[in-house]
Amino acid sequence: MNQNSSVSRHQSPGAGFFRTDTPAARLSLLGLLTALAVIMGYIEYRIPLPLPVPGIKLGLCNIVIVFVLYRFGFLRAFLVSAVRIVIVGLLFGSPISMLYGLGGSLLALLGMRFLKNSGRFSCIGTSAAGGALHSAGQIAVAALLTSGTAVFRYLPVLLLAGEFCGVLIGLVVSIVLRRLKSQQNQGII
Amino acid sequence: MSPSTEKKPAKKPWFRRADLFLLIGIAVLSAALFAFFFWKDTRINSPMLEITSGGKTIGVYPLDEDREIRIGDESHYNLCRIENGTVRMTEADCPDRSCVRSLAIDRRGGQIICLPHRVVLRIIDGTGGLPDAVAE
Repeated sequence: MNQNSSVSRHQSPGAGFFRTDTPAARLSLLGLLTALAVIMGYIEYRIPLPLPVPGIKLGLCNIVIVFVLYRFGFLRAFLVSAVRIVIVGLLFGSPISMLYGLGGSLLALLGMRFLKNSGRFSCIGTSAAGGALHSAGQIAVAALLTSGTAVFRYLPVLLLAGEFCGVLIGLVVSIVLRRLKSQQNQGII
Repeated sequence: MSPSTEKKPAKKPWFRRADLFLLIGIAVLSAALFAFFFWKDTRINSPMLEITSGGKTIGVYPLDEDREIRIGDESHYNLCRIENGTVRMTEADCPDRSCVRSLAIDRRGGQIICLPHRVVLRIIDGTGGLPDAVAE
């Protein structure tokens, strides 16, 4: 109910590109956002961080995912995330990288939905927890794939990295949500 | 984020107290995990290198003999070298090659993982595994 109402909330009659009042408008907007997330994944893929621990990324595309979670709800955020992971996996990755992505993304989104709906946390806290959970989900997939517990040794550093990146992502999403809202209120978009 | 609070002119804060507790909680959790693994490493008496591939142990090697170990088959491979008591992955044909970038591990513990090939190098406590270990 929360998600549906948030979708039809911003009706700016006759306004520009950020409309969410019809299914077609929502679909094309989500398609645009998915493309944006794919491009961000590509940018990150081209700039690998030379760190001795695998799996640390800024997760730029999560700006889009967290934004969609806040504006369109859990289900659509998961859909955008899943489509993004499949596209990025087909283009630059492997079936295994898709599995990591899906594991991390599902756990992160479930956790973020819970925190967001609890109403106690701001976007920054929600996103930070999402980052940490994303790491935990990837480690869980890695543990299944390597059939061992050795990967859990990476958990502390990946949790911290996920938390840090999540704070940055959450900050950006906060700014975007606020700008968008004030511009919509002024009828600019 | 519900529509009822949306109509109020009062702005939602950027950062709330609950967020702070959440951030500290995650940091404490990772510090505790870090301490746990550190403590576990200090309990290694006779370090050995264990190599597993796809969950199956393919070998346990002492650290005091230099050698080079090839892991894999025709389709893919990893090359691991034990030299002066340290272990590193010297070569691999995996796509991300983060195992090659990984820091070397030695008797103090640690691990190197090649996720694409599902290869794990880690230091285990060889006590009791070999009769020689007791003599030391």
